[in-house]
Amino acid sequence: MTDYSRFAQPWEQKTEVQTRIPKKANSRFFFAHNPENWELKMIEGYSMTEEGKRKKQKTPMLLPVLSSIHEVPGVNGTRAVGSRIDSSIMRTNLLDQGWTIIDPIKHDYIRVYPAHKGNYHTSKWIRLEKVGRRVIEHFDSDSFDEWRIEIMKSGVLNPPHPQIAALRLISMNRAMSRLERDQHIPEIANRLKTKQTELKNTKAAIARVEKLGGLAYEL
Amino acid sequence: MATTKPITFDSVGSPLSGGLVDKLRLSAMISQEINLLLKDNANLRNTALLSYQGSINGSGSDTVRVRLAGLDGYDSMAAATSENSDESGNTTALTINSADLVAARQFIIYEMDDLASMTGFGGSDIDPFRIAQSIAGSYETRFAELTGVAAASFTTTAGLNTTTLSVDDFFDAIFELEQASSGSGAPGPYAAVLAPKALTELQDSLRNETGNAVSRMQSSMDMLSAKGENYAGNLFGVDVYRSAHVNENASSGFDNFVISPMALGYVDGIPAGVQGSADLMSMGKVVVEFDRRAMSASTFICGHAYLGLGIIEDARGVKLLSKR
Repeated sequence: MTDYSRFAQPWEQKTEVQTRIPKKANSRFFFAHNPENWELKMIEGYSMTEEGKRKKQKTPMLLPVLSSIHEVPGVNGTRAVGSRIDSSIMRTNLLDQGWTIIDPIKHDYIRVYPAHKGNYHTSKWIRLEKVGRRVIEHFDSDSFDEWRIEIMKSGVLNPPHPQIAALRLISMNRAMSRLERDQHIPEIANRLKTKQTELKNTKAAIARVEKLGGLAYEL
Repeated sequence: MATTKPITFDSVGSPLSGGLVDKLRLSAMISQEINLLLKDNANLRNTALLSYQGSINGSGSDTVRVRLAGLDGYDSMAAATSENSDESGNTTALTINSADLVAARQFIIYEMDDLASMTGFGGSDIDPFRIAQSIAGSYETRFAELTGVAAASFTTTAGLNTTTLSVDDFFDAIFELEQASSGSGAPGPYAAVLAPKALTELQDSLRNETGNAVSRMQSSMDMLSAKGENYAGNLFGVDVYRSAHVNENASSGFDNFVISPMALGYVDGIPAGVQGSADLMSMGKVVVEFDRRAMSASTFICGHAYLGLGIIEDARGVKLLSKR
């Protein structure tokens, strides 16, 4: 007589089906930076007072604006070769135009989620959450800024050229001059004040880079 | 006086009360017409803003190299040192450049089994032919997606990933194009393609404009009125389009863009004379084939297109960043 009971497995309800985020798939990407693109950020840090006490302060810094360059066969010279994607033409063109490519393997910034019709690629600073019918994205801008400061400190990207950074001042001046005529309106006066502060901080950030070079990113 | 055994639609009380549903009545009657879910397949393919660089069919390559040369005033003349000086050592080097557009296979495949197909109501109900017709629309959507991805590589940027789109950012993008290529300026017309959220932010910013030159412009007012199609209006001489396929970057922003003609171009290819294909439909730029799987009583409806999009001249486009 054969007793089959030892072949039996305990029954278990399948508790988890593969979770897919309700977003359309996109292709993989890499971050790249062009030396023309910088943005002002106020970075919190501490300084020592004359009495030897720690004092919180905000330092204006120009951080790189990073472009997400997607590798899609058929776009900007990228092609599918066998089962891999060959973006060498696009990468070469970017390098020719002065871009710096930030290697995703070396710097570990990509996160991949199973999504509708493939995978959704995004950065590690974006957290996705579903609320009702919407997918809410939380972006951890502080950590992103810290990471950008790190890549500046480690020399992956060169500090901004002061003349290039100063081009931003032109557009800021233009935005302010549009407001100046209506500064008798309190709301406009506030907007103008914000822009004036931004201009002052941008000038301070440029001066910091001029004075310290790459060390401008050391707090 | 109420009867003790009424004829009801649903089973009321005990199951023996005799509800008609699921036996003599349908629990739901499906509509005769198949209505369309919301979609966005509008793109700039048939406008002068995207440059068609030809078909790869019979070209010997999957790549079209767009040739660019500095002619017709790109180089200026210079004054001779004297009226009889030998200037043979001062020849001008011709400025040349090129952009490669590579066509790649894009596809969409549906599978439909016979039971699903045969139980349709006929007419325009879902069957392999209706699916094939739908694939033509899928090509347009893909075109819009690839346009968004290609434009995400423009070097020049305006706006920021951390702020909502404003009139100031829009002006910055226009100024960048007007002073492109060391002041040469990109010739118009200009067009802006904005994510729907960015468009509403721009409209909000326009409403808050106090300068008469902007707030009292007829086109500013037109921009604020809701429109059903993707064309949103003309603002400061720039045609504004809304697209759900603007690239979402990994810094939590939208890569909206403003372009002038020859900023972006495309190439394509259409399979012709496909051997062994029993059932092939050429629908514009798309080829749709039916692949019959008798063993599983199903039909695959395969749509293919060969498409390549890319930046032709970087200076003719601006990436207009805005917060997601």
